[in-house]
Amino acid sequence: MRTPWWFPAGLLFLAALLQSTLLPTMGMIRARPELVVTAVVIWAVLRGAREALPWAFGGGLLLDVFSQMPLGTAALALVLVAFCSSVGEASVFRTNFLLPTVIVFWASVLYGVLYLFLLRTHQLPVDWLGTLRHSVVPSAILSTLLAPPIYWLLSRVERRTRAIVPVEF
Amino acid sequence: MRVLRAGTPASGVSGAPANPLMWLALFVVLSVGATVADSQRLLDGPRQLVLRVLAPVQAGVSRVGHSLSGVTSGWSEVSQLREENAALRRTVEELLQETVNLRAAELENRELREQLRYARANPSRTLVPAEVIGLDSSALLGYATLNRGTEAGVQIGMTVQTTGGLIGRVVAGTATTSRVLLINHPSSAVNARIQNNPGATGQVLGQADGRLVMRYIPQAETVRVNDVVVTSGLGGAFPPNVPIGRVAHVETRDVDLFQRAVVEPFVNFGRLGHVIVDTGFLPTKL
Repeated sequence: MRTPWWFPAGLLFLAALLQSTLLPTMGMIRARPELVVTAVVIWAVLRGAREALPWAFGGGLLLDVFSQMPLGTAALALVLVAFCSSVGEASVFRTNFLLPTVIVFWASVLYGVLYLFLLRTHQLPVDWLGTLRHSVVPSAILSTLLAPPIYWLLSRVERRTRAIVPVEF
Repeated sequence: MRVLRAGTPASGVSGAPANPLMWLALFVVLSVGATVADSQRLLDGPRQLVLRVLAPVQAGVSRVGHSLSGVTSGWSEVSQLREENAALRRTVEELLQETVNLRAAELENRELREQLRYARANPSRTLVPAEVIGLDSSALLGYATLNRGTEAGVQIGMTVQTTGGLIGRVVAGTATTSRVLLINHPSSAVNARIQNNPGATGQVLGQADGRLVMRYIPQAETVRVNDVVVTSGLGGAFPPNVPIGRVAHVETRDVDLFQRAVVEPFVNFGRLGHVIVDTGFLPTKL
């Protein structure tokens, strides 16, 4: 059974909207949970790179549009992070929420570092140490805290859309 | 035999490359392409269009965020206000303490200025300023303790007064402190006279209720209310002409040999602070 196209599109749109519009107005200026990254990483763990990479590209473009940053910056960072996270698909522990939760933390940190690096390539000033300390790591912690409920939601969707394949002996 | 098993999930993209690395390369190229196109301003039109469509949505979400922020910030403001309140309370207490200290300093300053003025007005007398550091409340304000003793030249029998009037005399002392018998104590007796009538002499005695009564005033002498009572110097226990108080009431009975007057002291014995010891006067030993 295929994952309906509107599901990742709607989910990522909602996550990007919340992350770039709602959370900053609630006082989360420097550190906020990376909802799109979390969703993409968990989907990468559940379904692998082939399904996660389109999510990552689409979610990244949405983040770029909402945050009015150079288009493709977040997309490229998120694509690379999703690919790295998809190695968790091969693990026997992927059905346990702990593995995706741990992966979300490191993936968020990696995403932050890659994003800063890409911003630097656009000649934007970057305070590496300060941003890592006050923004990247706290955001990764917040994302990790939100990972279990997002994993619970996405794993239910994943089970519903899992294909039944006939096996010949 | 044919069974069913959960297999590889179906991809949302049919005909896509099976190798994940190929997938990665594809989306990296797409991302870089988007970046290059954006830097060449090729995507400005679509981007503006998307932003125009999304702007109302963002505005609505932002309003919701601000409302939620108001609720959450309300809680943080409450705790912030509590902290501010505690800090303000501490400040008020500190200021109150400072005010009390300033008032005490002002009072002390006033008393010291009066003492200075008194000392200048009486250059012939040797005066030592002292401070009342204790009152013997058990004996109805009978004794006061001063912070000056023999080291400062204070000796037993010396007169103690304020700039207003007589307080008492030193009855005991140490090197650094001295004990004063107040004139309103029942065991105190001061030879006195009416200031404007040298013949109207008597003895000012302390009463159990802390008042002063002048006894043994000859019947022939005229004593009026508000007359000033001063020490007479008779007997040599006190120097002459030290103010004691003012006549508040006169009792004259034809059957008595003497008149009696209630004296309102010039000194408020309940508020003794800075006093003066007349070290230039020693009582005459009879």
